[in-house]
Amino acid sequence: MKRYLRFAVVAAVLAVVAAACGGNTTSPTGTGTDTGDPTDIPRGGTLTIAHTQDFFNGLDPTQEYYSVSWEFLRCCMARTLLSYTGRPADEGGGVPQPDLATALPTVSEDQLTWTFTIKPGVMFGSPLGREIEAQDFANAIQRLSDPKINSESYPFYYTAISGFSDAKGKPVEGMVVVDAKTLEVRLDQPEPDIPYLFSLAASAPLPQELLDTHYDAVELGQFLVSSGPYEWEGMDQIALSDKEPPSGMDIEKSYVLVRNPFYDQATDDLRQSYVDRIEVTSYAGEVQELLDKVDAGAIDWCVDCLATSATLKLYQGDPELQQRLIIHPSDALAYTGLNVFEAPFDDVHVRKAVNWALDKQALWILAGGPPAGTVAGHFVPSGMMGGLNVDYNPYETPNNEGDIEAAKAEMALSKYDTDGDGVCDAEECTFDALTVTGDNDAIKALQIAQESYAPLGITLNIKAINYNALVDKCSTLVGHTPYCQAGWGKDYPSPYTFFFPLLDAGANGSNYSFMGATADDLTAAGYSGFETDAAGLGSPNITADIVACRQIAIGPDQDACWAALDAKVMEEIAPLIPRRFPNDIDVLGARIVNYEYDQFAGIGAIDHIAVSP
Amino acid sequence: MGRYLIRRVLFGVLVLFVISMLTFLIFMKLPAGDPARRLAGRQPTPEILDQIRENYGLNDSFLTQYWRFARGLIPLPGFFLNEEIYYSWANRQAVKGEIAEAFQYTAVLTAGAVVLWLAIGIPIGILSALKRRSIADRAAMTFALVGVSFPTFWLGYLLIFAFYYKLGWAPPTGVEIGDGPIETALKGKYLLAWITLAVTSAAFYTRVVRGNMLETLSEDYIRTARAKGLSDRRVTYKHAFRASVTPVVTMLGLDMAGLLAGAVITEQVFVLPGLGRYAIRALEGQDFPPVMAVTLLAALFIVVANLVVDVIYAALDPRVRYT
Repeated sequence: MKRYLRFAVVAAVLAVVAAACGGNTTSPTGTGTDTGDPTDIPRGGTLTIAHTQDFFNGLDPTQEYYSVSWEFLRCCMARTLLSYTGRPADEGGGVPQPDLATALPTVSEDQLTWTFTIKPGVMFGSPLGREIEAQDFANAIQRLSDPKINSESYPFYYTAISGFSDAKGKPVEGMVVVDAKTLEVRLDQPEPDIPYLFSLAASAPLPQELLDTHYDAVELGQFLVSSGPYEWEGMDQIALSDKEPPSGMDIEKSYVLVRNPFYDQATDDLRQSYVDRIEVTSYAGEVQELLDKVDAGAIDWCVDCLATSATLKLYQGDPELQQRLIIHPSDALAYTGLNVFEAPFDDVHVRKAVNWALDKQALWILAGGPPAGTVAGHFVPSGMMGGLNVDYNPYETPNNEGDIEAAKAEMALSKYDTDGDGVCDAEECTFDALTVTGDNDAIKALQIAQESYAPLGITLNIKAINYNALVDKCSTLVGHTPYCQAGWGKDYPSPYTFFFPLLDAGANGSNYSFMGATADDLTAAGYSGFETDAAGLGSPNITADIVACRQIAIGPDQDACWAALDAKVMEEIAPLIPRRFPNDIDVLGARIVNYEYDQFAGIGAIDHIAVSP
Repeated sequence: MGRYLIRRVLFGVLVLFVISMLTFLIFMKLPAGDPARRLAGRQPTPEILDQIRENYGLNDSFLTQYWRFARGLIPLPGFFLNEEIYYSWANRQAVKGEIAEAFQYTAVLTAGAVVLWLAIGIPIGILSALKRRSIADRAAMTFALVGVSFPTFWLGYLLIFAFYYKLGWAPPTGVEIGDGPIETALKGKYLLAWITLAVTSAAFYTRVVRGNMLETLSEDYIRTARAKGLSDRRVTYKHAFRASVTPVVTMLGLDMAGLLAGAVITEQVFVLPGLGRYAIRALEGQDFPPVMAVTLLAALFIVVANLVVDVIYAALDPRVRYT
């Protein structure tokens, strides 16, 4: 299941309707303590993890585009030039720190050259056991440029690097190896997110010895030479020329990580790596069974199990068990996308009217109430904007139940309300609302929306279709779909990874508003009557605003710019209806005595987990 | 007989060809969504989609694409399910290996279910025929009616609810971490699945055996055998049963072939990683190579089973001769 589907599921299908959920705290709780004194926390032992959704690409760092995979790579196997501490945002967990680089990169005055210095003495794991060098990072970007490898990945973030788009698997001219420990990243245009981009797994160093023997997609992951504290069990028993993967790598079944004998903790300020061994198993069964196993101590953690109502009821009702229930705000959003070029949402007043009308409280209760997150009043999770806009909600209504009078007042300004009575008169106000077959909670959510919009004269024809067909209809201009429920989570801790994919990337497949689409694309897809700006983009769009924010260095000033853009999006354009900021919920086994939430990956930080002896 | 077999084999090849073409046509020309989009990451830009189509040959002509997959169905080394073409688009693993693994779970499911339904269906059918219009007969027919009326998924969930959730007698569904099909069976995790499959089939076989027995028992040669003084037991089991079991053999062959291709619903209900579940996962993910491979495998089972049962039929019934 794709990441965005995972978040859509979190947004719409957290099946919690337990009475015990009402009114309980949503503040994060910890288990054990990270006392700040690591010597108090036991080291050693085996951590057993299960997951219901396997890694998508065998933990191939170039290809993996999934938060759980990213956590395994970050914690354990793929250090990067910069990385994260594996802590919550309010403890600095959202800011990239030097990892394989000695310090944050220096940047030239023209913003076109970023220079990294590689830490000495950091070694690749078995079977290589050699020092990591600048060329290994250039290899990674070279492989990322290969269209035969990168189609499931995120190469579009790196196109500012000189020669990246043309390299197609050959050396990228913008990745300059000055010497063994100095890497220059040369750009065609300024890219302020370079620190973020070189904290992503695709930028992790790849030794040439591995590329020469196991270059292909997914296959590389099975033989991944670790740069982190752990490696596949059995890597010390194979040669890279072997055809059979190490014993600890049984793709789609089980994975075993053991300590990397060449890892030096002294070179790593970010990771704790308490356990000696990590066993991960794929499980295709009922989630409740897995959670029962966690409760019984048979496994320590199900990394992607959505807590069921039964489990939440059990854990929240028991003070001791409550310590093992971790509820933490994630950097995600459940929302409804509005196609700003498709009637009736080509009229901003209709978009604003539905924002006023929607009963978000009912949707929140449907999703499970307090454990499921908080009602969203704006677009980007506040934690990603330095805590700004946390109480900002331009469509705030009593108890979040919607304000039909305000909605009608807005609708009366719309071209689709010819007599100004606040009720849409046009047939365009009856349209299909699509959801996935079998997703009962999503259907109920649409029914709630239908009831909310009915006084406005808006009628949703709720249709359940195959997931792949739904994605096609919602994410292509030719689908002419005006209204789509969706969810989204960040790629890295910058609001850019919300604004660009969802509101600026034209028809890139995740943008259900289609803002940023060119006039030519719109015309080709059969749209007409839309406005066009000087850049040839359909209007409205926020392309220039995004560019402006990205020209500000990462920090409070940039946060303020994003927050202002967040407000502009909500108040002036309203291309979506934010519904809920979901929480991440982890249920931990009794053996776990230390846990931290990794804000970057949005799950527990595996390297911070310690188990009792 | 030799000419007959050759004709049947050639016809079987034709059938498989048509099925492969139809499968390809349905998947490629009538997809529920763009396969390239399914293969992309979560920001499928037009450029990425184009690249995926290039990588997977989705832009090639229909016949070129078809021939690429059809070659992999030729049962010769180097061709059959070759790893260059027949790898899962989802995880890049060779379809051959994945099918081989999934087949083991399906085989155990099928074997157990077959034993159970024969052990239930045939004796009840015989008893019912011999005790016609008795209480036993009526009970057997009631069982047959109820059994064939149960939807498989409903019966499966009902059994899980009763024996796992309520009574705690059955183990949870799914395969334990690290267990193969035999270990899973030894832990009792197949039992309810076997019963689910067996009930419906046993009911059906009961009716068939009963009907055949009744028809056979009214034949002249049976009357003659009795008139000659043969015992009831000998008449029933040596003469009548043999004649009436012949259609059962035919049915059994086809039913087993169908199950070996993947008892989709049962495997889904009981979370058994067999061929049926593998096929469902591939279909949901628009993962064409496994879809094609499993579909043709299923068709192959049926074609071969048809041929085998016809040969066995001729062996069992001397009146049957093929030319």
